[in-house]
Amino acid sequence: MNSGPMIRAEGLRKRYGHRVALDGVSFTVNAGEIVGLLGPNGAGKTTALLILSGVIAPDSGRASIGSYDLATAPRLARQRLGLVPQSLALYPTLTALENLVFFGRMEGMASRDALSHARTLLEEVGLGDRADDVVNEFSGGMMRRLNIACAMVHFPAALMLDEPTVGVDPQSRGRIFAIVEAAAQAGGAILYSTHYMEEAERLCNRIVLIDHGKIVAQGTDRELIALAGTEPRIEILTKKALLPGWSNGIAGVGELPGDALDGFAAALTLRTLDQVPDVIRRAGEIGGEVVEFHVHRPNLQDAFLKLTGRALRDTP
Amino acid sequence: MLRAVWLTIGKEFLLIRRDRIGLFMLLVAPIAVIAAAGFSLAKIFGGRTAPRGEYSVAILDEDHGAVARAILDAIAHRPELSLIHSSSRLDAQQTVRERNLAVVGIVIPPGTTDAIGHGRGAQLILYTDPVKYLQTTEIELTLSELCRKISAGAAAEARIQAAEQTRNLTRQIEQARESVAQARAGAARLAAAAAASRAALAARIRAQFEAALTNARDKTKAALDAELNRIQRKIDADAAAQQAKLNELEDYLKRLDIAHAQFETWFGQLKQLAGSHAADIPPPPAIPTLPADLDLGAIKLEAGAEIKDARARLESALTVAPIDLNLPELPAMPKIPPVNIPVLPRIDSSRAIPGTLGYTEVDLAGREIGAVAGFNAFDLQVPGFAVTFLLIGMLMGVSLALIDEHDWGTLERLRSASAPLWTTLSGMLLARFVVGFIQMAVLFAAGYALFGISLGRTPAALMMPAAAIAFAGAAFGLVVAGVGRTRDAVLPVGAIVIMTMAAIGGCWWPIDFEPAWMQQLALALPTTWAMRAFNDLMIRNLAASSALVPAAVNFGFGIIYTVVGIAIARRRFG
Repeated sequence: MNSGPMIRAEGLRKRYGHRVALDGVSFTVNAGEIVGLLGPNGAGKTTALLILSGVIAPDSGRASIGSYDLATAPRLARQRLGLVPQSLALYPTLTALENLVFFGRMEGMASRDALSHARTLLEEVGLGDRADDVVNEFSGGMMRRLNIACAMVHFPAALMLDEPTVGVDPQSRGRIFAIVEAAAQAGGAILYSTHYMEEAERLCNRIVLIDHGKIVAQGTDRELIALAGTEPRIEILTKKALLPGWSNGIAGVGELPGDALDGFAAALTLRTLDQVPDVIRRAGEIGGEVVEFHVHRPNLQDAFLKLTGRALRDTP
Repeated sequence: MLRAVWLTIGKEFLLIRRDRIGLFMLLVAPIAVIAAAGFSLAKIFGGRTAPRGEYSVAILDEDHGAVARAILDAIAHRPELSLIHSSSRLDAQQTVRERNLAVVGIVIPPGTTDAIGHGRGAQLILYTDPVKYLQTTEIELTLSELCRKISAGAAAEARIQAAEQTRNLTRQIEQARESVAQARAGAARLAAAAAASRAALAARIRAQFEAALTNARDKTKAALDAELNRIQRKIDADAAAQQAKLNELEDYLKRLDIAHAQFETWFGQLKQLAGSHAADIPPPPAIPTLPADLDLGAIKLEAGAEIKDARARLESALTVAPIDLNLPELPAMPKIPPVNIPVLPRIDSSRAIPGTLGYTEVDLAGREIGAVAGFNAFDLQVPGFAVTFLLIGMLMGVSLALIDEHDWGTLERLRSASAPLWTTLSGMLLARFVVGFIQMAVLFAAGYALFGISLGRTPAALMMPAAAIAFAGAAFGLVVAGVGRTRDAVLPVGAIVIMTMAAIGGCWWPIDFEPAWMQQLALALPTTWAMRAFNDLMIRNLAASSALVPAAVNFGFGIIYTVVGIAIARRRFG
């Protein structure tokens, strides 16, 4: 195994009829790294994952796992990757253990190894005591965890997760995060597709922002936020209306137009968070009493909005 | 790759084991349907599966004879029939048509036994209910067979009696013929003795007669010789006298002839001397000339020759020819009048008494299977519904399983693993093929244990069509999975196609019930070939080789379905 990227996408293009799903997507994921593929629904995240996991072939471009090209050495490449599909990929009438052993053996594991690792994995995902229960008796969160475990049973060097926390309760989500982090710490290259900004921020070392099949930007969250040039924002509700120009005198702030107020009486962009006390004081003076205020730190959502002009949770 | 196929097979078996509804549909549901269909339709095929005493027959015996007893006895011995004795014809009618207690009413009219015994026809009277057509037909068949047997029995009895009488007559005639032959031989011996006596008598008579005749001839000859000698002498004397005179005449004529010549000469000289008066001289009278051929010298009177001739003739006349005695016939032997004992013609009792025309059914192997042969309806229903449920199982097992795999996302996961799609499909097909084959085996075993179906001459041969249809069915499931995109689409489409295939292919009724064009159409269906093989082996009782072609055809269908199914599945799921 070379020391280069474990997951590599180079100029991937995929078209479904007239619709372009991917348009020249390139990125890499190194071993031990969690890379978030962040974008709204329909951005092309799933298509990218399916190409990188060998389920579908790109129209052009190159996808490889380690040093194995999925086009020329698909079997070797696939043996080194694990895919957690967006929807559950489990046999509902088999037990958790049977599911894991079957997928492990399909990946080439010996029966004893598959069984042993399956039990270990079940413990790790918190399903050790449900190993012999059939899957259709599980909750959604349990199924999600088992779904991830099935992709990891054969010790893949590259793990790709497609929106693994959709519909999952907070407790299960936390477990999933722990599993993913543990996998990365074990040296796995993790490609984590999500449209939840918080998850990307929480888990990912790097983030690839994708929209309409194109990569908008990629880097750490801070880099992306910085790249987008977004600023902190404060939203204030006062007893009296704050007329335009009310913040004159506070250096570096900018009043936002009314349609961005989201129900608050006024909103300002800040140069730094240190300006918050001055703004609150000023609003109280002019608007009577400050009823409520909300300070918004710039995040990926803002960066995405800034970069694409639309929110992450927009429909395509 | 084979490893992936085997793992898929194992997984499929695990899924099947967990699918209780599926198992129910595979094994229990078919048996229930087979039982319902088999018991319901047994009557159609003349099967012997009717429960004891299922049909009641009202009967009125007005005959009270042997024939009536035979009919009553035969009906009483049919387990599926029970008797209700009626008191009158009206009662019998009402029992059938109004009270609905019996399928048919049978009246045995008075004199039936007597009529049959005396070679006359007799008719039973049947009261039937047109609504109960099938049951009536079955009972009529039974009754018809019974009547045929009774008629045949009576004819056989008469034939035996006629044969006995013929044997006696033949014996008497043979005795008479023997007596006549002996008489004829005695007469022949008597005739021979008479003929010998007659021949001896005739010889003696002839000898005596010839002796007498010879004596008479000798005497006559002597007398004739004496007379002839006397005549000879007289004739010789007369001839000598006449010869002398003849010699004188001859001499005269010679001299006359010379005188004639001299006259001529003289006359010539006279004329010459007469000169001119010569012409006046009248011609001399013509002297007749001797006939040119008269040669008196040649005449020799020899009377003795005639006498010699006469003597020779008499000698000849006196020679006695062999005498045919022509004895009168002896009084004829009294003739034995020809006794014409005709050779007794070979008496064919079957021609003397009209025979009974019947038939015996034999199976295709030539074995006798009785006069009216039906078959166990389950011999048709078990393979028919086994094939039907096999196809349903394949629809669920392959089509729905493949769609489930797709819907569950496991197909996607498997495809991201190192197992290509074809390994999943192959494993699924093989697993379902094995399940289908086991399903067929279990249903046939159940059919044998519960319904007594025939397994044919070689039960192992049933594996051929079972394996072939299991393969074709599994492959067909793949095609359906490719065509129907969702469970909601597969279920109705698959159900319609399977029901149609099963119906047209003869799974539910004999294919011969169908019109010819439909039977031709059915050749394009694997169900038709499967049922042909099962019917040949189980009902027609043919050899195992009869299943080779149908099984090969279905394997061919299976290969075609597999190729088409994988092609569609690769487009659909690939």
